[in-house]
Amino acid sequence: MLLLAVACSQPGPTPPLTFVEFHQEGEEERPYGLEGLGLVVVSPDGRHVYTAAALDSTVVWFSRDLTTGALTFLEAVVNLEGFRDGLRGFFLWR
Amino acid sequence: MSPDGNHVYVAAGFDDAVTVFSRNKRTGALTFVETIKDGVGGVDGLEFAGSVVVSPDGSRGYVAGTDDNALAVFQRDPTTGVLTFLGALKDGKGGVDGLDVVTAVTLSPGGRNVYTAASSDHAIAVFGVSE
Repeated sequence: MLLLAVACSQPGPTPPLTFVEFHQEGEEERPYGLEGLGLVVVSPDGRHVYTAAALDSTVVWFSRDLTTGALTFLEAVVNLEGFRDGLRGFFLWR
Repeated sequence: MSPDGNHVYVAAGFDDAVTVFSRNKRTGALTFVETIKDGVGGVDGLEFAGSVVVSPDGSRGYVAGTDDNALAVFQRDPTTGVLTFLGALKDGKGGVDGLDVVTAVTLSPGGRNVYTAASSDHAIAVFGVSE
């Protein structure tokens, strides 16, 4: 997992946003199931974030820190032939 | 759609644009308001715009610019729905990462955080909203 926490400055107009962190599919064990991410949603109570990755045929979820917004990887449901089906060509409803 | 239901926002990838419509709440009919295009009037970060959201308080709009690897931010006029460009964060600039081919953007329920999904970076990125 790669995790960065920096304040950013950009050329041109500076938008009122601060980059907090990112979670990327990597060679390490976690997080996994993020290849080809297409969608992201936050639960109505703000406690979890869900994303879906087309290339991995996965739905991945994180817990969300209600104060900082930072995420912690929890689990990925993977489409596996003969075990769990129905995630290829997914569409994650907002 | 804006939280008050008065405006609809469309991210148009092939036009590198966001188009704004006003909405008749009774009939649901849409009326064209404006189109904001990448590279016009100083606007940046809208190449192949893939997703757009409006903050819960209706004051801002956020656009995922897929081919710009960018997250563009707009001020929103709550009465007219018109958007004013505030700036864009781009992958690989100013310490920002996780936006390579960003396809989706969403907000936390209170609007304090912005989350993006990027299909080439295979990453989810987190941003904090400042005043």
